Amino acid sequence: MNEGDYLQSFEIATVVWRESLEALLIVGILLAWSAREGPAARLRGTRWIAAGALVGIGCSAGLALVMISAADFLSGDGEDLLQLFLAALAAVLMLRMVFWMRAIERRPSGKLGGRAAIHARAGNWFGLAVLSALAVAREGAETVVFLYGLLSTSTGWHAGMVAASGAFGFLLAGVCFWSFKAGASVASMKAISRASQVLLLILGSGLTMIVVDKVISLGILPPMTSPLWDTAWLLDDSHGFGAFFAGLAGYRSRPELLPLVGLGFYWLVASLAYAPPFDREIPA
Amino acid sequence: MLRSRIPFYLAICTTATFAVAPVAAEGEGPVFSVHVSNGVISPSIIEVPANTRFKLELHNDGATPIEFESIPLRKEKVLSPGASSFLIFRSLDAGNYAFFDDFHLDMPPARLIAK
Repeated sequence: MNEGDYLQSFEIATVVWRESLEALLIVGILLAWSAREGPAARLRGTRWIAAGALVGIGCSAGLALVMISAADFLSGDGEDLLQLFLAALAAVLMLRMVFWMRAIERRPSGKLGGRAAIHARAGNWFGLAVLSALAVAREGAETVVFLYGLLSTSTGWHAGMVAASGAFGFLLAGVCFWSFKAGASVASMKAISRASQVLLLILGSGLTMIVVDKVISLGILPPMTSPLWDTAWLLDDSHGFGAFFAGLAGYRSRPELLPLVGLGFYWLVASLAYAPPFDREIPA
Repeated sequence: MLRSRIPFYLAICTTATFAVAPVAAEGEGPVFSVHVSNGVISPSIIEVPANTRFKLELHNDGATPIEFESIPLRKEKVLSPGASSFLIFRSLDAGNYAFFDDFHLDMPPARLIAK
């Protein structure tokens, strides 16, 4: 292997790590969260999350196949529509998850009672599975196209190098996932709950901006104004770390009014989870 | 118990599909092409009309997959080797927009200039 090969190998591992990180983070949060339940409920939660992740892998493989074979279906507006729908659903489910976490934190006895609670819990497990599937499917398809695309044009030992680098990238993401879980097992339940809420809210904010971007891109709504300010001197969202951070957390260096309204609305809804409770019990 | 939630998700899906369906029917505008080969984007500067609908064709001529990505342009698109696709831009304010290949981050970004 020469220097160029090492460089390519490193790049492949980095791309795979970067693409799988968000999905693993979300699955990690969900698993850490379900671990707070009793053994029976934990097993149930883990099963739902794992089933969701498997469905997500299946979806991303299917989506990747569509991207590779019949690119026309997802050309132009097709992919924007799909991304809009997936991001919106994921953002709504993340908010729901945060509301659920808050409701459990607030419950005085630590137990939900009655049929309504059981009903809500069953729905939330299903929500967990859908969230886990969405997290994997959204980023997974790109990873599949990336690795498949590289493998399809490499031969001999070079193909082996690509496969090994890709596996190494997954391994790196796996180590991050494992350390997150290990950290969660020693932290207090309250700390896990708080950290999970912060992460979910930040990722949800990133998803909200994707929704706004697609809405503008598809011409459903106009951006309302030209950019209101420019913070590119501080952190530029057009390339490098700024672009990565923008994709993850919803940062924009030159926002128009509509993105700000969208983001404001998202955080307003999110803040309701932290408002003083009403007299009636908050539905979980 | 669980079943009662499924219609809720189905309702979201259906609403989302119908809410965005009408935007597809519009006229075509001018067409521009970008060729990407293993992270090298050509041309590296593309001039497009501002506030006009246009189509940007993407061609991956290289042996590696690419991802057209730009936060300022609000677009991202993955292309496997040899694949082609296109993006639709409806109304771009005059300005200078950077885009790059997210699968070849060591390569310099290219620019779309709307006038």
